[in-house]
Amino acid sequence: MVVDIKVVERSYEEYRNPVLLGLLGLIGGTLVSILLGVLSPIGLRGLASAFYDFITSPEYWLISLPYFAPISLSAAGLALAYQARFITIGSEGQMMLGMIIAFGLSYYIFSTYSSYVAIPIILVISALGGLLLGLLIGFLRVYLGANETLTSLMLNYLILSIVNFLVAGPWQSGPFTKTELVPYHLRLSDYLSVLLSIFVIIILDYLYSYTKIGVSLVAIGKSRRAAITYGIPFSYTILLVASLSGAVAGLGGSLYMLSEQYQLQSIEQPLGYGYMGILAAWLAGLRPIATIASSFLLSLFYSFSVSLQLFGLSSSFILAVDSVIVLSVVIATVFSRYKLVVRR
Amino acid sequence: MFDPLQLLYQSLPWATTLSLIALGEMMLERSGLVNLGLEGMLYFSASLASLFSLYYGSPYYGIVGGILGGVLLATIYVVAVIFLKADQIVVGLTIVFLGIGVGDLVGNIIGGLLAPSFTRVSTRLVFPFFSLLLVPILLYYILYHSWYGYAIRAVGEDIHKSYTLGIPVTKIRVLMALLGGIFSGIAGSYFILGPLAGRWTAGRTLGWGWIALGIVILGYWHPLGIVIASVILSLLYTYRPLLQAWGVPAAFSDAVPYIAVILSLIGVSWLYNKLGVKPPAAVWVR
Repeated sequence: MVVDIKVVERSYEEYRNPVLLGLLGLIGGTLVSILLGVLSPIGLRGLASAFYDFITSPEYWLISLPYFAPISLSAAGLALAYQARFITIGSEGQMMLGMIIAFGLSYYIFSTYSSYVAIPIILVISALGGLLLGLLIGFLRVYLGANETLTSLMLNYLILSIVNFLVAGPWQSGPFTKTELVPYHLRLSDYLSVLLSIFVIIILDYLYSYTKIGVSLVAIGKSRRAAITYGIPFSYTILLVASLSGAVAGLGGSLYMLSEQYQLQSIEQPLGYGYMGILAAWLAGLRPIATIASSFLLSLFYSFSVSLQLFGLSSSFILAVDSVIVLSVVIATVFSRYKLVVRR
Repeated sequence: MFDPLQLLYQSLPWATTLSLIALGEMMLERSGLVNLGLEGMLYFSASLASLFSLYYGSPYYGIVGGILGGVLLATIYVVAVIFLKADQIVVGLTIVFLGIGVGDLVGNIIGGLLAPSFTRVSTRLVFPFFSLLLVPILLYYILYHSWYGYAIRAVGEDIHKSYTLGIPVTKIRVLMALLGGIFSGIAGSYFILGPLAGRWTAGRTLGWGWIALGIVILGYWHPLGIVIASVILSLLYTYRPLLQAWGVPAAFSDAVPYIAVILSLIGVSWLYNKLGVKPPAAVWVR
């Protein structure tokens, strides 16, 4: 007996709700990712029970708050960029640049200023730094045709090497490769950083849902040629999206620096918040407002991974869990537009 | 102190790795798809290769493990992108993170033990010979002088016309994606059991898969171009200690390959634009 399985596009009336399918994918992906625990030192059972404890206890939710700002802000900016098919993965670098600027300004320049003056200036300048880096990637893409995925990724490694240069050179303090701490009065509380990032995400979602910018970036993402024919400014929109995503990622980095990290340290591998932002953006179905929920989940997982390190699991384990979940959500949402047809 | 031949000799293993991964990716991109997951495939196959080599006591079993790892992740790509029509960009990125995460889990099992590695001759001679000479020539022949090559290129340039001509589009794409998995699997096992002599350390392959993606573009989706691009980039990479001797901080000289890729990508893209050359593969035409 030959079974023929085909993926067929649904007609418009047959479209299924992508959100419900996404939730199904989320549950399925979580179950599958727990299976990865077979390879872990604590085993399947240990991982499953740790997972359950973690998800269900509110005190752990509080631990994950500091990671929310960098992940969610990267995600919301990237969601816009990906809608326009501007596939940057530079938010990691933009975030690290924001961290560098936030530390440099707070420790070396604004350490004697009042926090009401200094903190807004620091946040704005870090966002500007991220914006410039994003704009550079957009510029290379629009005017020179350089593939943005690769240039943005290489820039991440460049920024990483700048961090390593600073902490081992001009900004080093003490015998270890790290800097001094951000002055006490310039630190932010976790709650404030979460509220600020939610506020910025709401603004981004407003831009996406209710303005011309949102319409044009979706149009460009769907079909570039058609969009240009209808008079949508291609270069302008791409540059705008590139700089917006850069700016919010830079802001996320500076919020993380002022609310959690407080110092720069040498970095062997990228920290991963920017990369988690990528996953959170897709998990949210590229809708900025939905990144609040997806980033909350991923930052919860991130703090989970920090506590799993006590059991000898490396932090990259949670990236694998995240990617299994994102993969199954993406595949599940495919079925809102396609269906499986089995013929015997 | 500066000996060009010595430099070339030292850079051979890196060029071998880069060109192997890039060649596999080139074949996939020629058939009209792009797999961003090379980095994860390289990482995961390197970890599996050292585990297999350790367990069975021979680096040749390591290659089997590496290929298994590459093909496993390539299968995810095939199922998600080709059969289920999910977005290839997000699937590629998740493969990167999945590969790194699971690779580290496998690395935990290895626990820092030294896996049996290839001999000096195969590291410095046999593998480079295959990856920089034999395989590129073979792929060149297949791509430009055989029916399969015409079919692959046709699929990459216009999928609808290929359907009309009766070319098995799905079959070709699946084969190319799996070939990419095999190539990065071999590259990963060579990388860990050859130049790194079987010592698994977390994070060791980080970056090479990404650079290979750049090399595909720099080499203009052509086997010969890819070999040249990977040799030049690996020469730059081996050049690093010299830069440090000139007073460039170590942190920056480590970033030399990335800076080189950015600069050459900008230059080459500008040149392609200026000459009006369109990428042969439909993937990058936007």
